[in-house]
Amino acid sequence: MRLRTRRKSRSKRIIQVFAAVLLDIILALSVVAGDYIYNYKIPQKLSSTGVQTTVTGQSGQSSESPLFSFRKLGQTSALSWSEKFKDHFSDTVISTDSVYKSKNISIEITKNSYDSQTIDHSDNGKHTKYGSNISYVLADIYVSDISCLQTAFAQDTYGTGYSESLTAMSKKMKSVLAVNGDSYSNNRHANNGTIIRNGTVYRTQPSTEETCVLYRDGTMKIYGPDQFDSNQAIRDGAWQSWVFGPGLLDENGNAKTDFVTWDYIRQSHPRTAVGYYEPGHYCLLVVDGRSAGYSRGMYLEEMSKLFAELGCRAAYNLDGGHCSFMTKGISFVNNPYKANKDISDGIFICEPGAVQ
Amino acid sequence: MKLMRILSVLLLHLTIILSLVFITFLVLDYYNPMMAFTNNGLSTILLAALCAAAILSSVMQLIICKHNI
Repeated sequence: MRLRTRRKSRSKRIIQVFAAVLLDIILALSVVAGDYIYNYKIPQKLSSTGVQTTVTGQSGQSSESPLFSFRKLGQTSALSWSEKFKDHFSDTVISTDSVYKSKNISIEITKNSYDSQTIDHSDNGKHTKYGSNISYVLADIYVSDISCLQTAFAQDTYGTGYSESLTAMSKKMKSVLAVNGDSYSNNRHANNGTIIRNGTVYRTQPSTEETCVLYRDGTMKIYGPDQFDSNQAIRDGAWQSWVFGPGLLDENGNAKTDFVTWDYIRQSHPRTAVGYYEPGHYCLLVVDGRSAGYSRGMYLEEMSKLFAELGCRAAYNLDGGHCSFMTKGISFVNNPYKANKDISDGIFICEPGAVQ
Repeated sequence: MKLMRILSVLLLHLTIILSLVFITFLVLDYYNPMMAFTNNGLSTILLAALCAAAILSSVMQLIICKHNI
């Protein structure tokens, strides 16, 4: 009887201890959830520097006009993008599911699907269920003016906790084509980089990642963590900057095999990336993924090889995963595995003057 | 002494909770170090609280052990 009583009280104590530990686990998860909600979900506006980038010409005069380099630098022999790429533009607007042509914008969308013959076994085999197929959408873009390449924040607000669907943002921007951006607001690292959007400088911080800068003269450059001088970029007329990475090509436009990023990004994922050929000619790539039998996503090496084969001089990885979207107008062009996910920022190809 | 035992138990639980929080933060940071779960203002406060809880509960346990001897 005494033994039974002792056993009962021991079992009772063990149950009490388990209950207490379970409560600790629940409280710990509540703290984590609270931290996530406080830092990433509660909208918090951030302050911007308010600085506008300009281009300084050889004469020392500066102008905010994106066409400055052709009008004021005395390069009368240099062709404007409208003249240089005139075979791609059209006097009348042509718009189909895969093509958009106007006087200022030319977009051709191609879709490709293939069996990579490679299954991703990384991360304890979490990706194996997605198979070896890869499907992607590539938009080849010519613009007559750098102002056709716009960016926008979710809910038009620079801050954390703001998100919006790409389709809603595309509608507001009246964009012809759009993709998600670098999810700048998720970067709460102390060195969270320089954000320049549409010529406005929002923050200048060092970064542990590579920075991609699109200048007003149409050139695109990618800088390593120790190479980027935000003040110089501002003086040189930076138009847009992104901080996610990594850069996908070396300085000669060849595919890379070593990337400045963290391990998780090296696995196969849905992807969004921007490619640069020459001023006025760019491409946007969205790779579908995490869809069994349809598309597993791409490794960075695969994406790097693709941009090298396309002949890009520079290419830069943006945020991917459940954020990878491409819209033409307000309709999805790719097949995202989470179509209802909101994002924090995007890249938009717009007719000049579409956004006031 | 009874109060000390109660406080000691509470601090032990606090240590478990905050340790689990930081283990979760480390896992999340593996997937996305940019989100800096272990390196923001709030997590710095939590880390200080974890250290304080660990030290205080250890000291209390030592005192209780000494008292029992």
